[in-house]
Amino acid sequence: MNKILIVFRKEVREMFRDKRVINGAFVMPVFVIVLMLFLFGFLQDTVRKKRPIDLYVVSATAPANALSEQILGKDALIKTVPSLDEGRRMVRDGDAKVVIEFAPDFGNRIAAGAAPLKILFDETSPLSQLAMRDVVGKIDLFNRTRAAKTLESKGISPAVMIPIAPSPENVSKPTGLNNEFLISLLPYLIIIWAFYGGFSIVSDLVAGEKERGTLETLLISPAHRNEICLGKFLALAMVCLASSLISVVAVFLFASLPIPMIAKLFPQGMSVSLPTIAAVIAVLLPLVASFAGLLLAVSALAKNMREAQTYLTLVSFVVLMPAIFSQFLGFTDLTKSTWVRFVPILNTAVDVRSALTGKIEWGWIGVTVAISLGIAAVMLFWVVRLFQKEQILTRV
Amino acid sequence: MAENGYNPGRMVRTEAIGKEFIDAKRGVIRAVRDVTIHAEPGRIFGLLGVNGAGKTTLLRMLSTVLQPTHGRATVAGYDVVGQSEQVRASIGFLSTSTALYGRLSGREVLQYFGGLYGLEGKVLQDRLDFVIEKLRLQEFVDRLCDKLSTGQKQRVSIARAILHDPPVLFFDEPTAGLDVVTAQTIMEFIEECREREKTVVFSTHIMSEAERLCDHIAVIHAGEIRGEGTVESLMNQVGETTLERAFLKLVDYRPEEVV
Repeated sequence: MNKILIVFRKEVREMFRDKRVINGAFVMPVFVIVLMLFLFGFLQDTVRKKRPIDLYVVSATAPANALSEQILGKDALIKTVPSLDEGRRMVRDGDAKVVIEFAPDFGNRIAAGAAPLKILFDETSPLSQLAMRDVVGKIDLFNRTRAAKTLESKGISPAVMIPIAPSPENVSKPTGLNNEFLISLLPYLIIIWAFYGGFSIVSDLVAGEKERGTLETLLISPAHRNEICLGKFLALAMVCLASSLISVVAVFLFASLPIPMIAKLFPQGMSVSLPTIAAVIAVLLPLVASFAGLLLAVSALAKNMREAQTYLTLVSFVVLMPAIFSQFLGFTDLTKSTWVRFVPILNTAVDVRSALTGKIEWGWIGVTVAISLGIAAVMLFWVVRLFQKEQILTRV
Repeated sequence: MAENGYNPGRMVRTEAIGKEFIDAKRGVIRAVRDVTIHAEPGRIFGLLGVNGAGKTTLLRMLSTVLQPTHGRATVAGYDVVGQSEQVRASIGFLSTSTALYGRLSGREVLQYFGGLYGLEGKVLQDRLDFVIEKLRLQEFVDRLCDKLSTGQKQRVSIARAILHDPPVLFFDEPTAGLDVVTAQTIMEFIEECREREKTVVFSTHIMSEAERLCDHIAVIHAGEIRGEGTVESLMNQVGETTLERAFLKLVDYRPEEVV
């Protein structure tokens, strides 16, 4: 049997008996994605179920209750604070989301127009910002209703107030993945687990063998060092790939569960086309190869497992940065920038993201594959060179 | 086989072999200096030296994991530099530091190395049956190596070293740190290798082991051979009555240096 295959089979057998690998490469990706989707579903549910917020009004200048309700809505829970300073303190301390101060003689000043109304809020608090926007929205509605009535009373159509009536229409391709949260999250997860899947075992593969004394026995066997190196590389790449794909499979399995919260998360269900799967696999395979090469090289460089873990932590930042950045691509116009297509890891994220939204750009996918393959080749060359050196054994 | 039982295809020969390492702090370190040895089939060649004398470096060069800086060596008729793969296929290597894979069973370890040594199918199965029977591994060969005692692990290691029936065996301090019973098993096994006409190179710093096992001893110190011969001839060379005293004289031991 081919010696590369013999080494590969032995490494895979050992990996699947290692709880760290099972947990780190296979259980964690599923756990993380399920946890994230549950949290997102919970948050979405919470935001949808709008609860009335306590609105504090400075009592000294508060108009009659009827007017307050007319402006702020009948469901508003209106409370009072004695002074504007006390209102400021309450907002700062988080005791109130917003505090409203009507101008003195507010009821009469409305008729003249532009009656002053102060809204205190805390910009650093998302909930306070939301409450402020809610109040502004209610006032805007009051203003428009009032203006429409005034115009009507003078025989003018209220339509003159809205010279333009926008009518947005969603023309996105029906991809089954019309959930922006998921489209941002999946490329990140695919990349992160392609790296961290191997992270859990790689220090064992070379540095661990060196530390335990099994590497010398292996190097004394007739297997060529290139064969040993490639067998280990392929086993590691397989774990990286499996770990990455398992996180995606977990998303789709999770989406098929008959849970109401999930049905709300994915109202149209989830499905991806074969070309999308092909595009994701095409960019993922060379990325996994480059990660496996990098991880194995770090393990081969290290004197022992502890040193390997230290190096791996440093290297993980190089991978993490573009991966994290990829989550925010949807909020920028960078997906259209050419330079992004030449940044390793980030270009994979852009291609996965585009594929998930139904825009498969095979030309750019080719560029990404070429870049990742180039890096994988360099990494593999490096790790093979490291295996050829005596230091692989003597550097302890 | 050539005349006088001389068989270059089973011998270990070195000619002025040496190894230098470059250390960032200490500069050039000459771990092995111009060592010339001949080890023959059916005899145990002992390398006797203190820790750090160069024994392991020499054995690592002979097993091709390190390349000599100068000189040359052949093992079983193959050059350690130019025919390293054939050399590795012809040797068995055992030391106390060579461990087993904890998450594999003894049988899986043997199958793994059998595959790497090119054994497969019935040949592999026959060799497995032979070493399992020979070293009495039946009781524990299917247990994970992590669960084995030190002695059981060492027996599996011996099985691994002889699985491919190599003509040459290297033992690098194979009894260091082992209990007396396990050490005895290993020494008996080494003696059996001699009976089976294997070429054995055995490194140790334990005088009693060298006296018991070795047909020919090379005293190695600071990377160079300080004396060579049978136990008796070594003692005669320096006019001492015990191997230990002869060894100390050969390595220029002076008590005041220790103080």
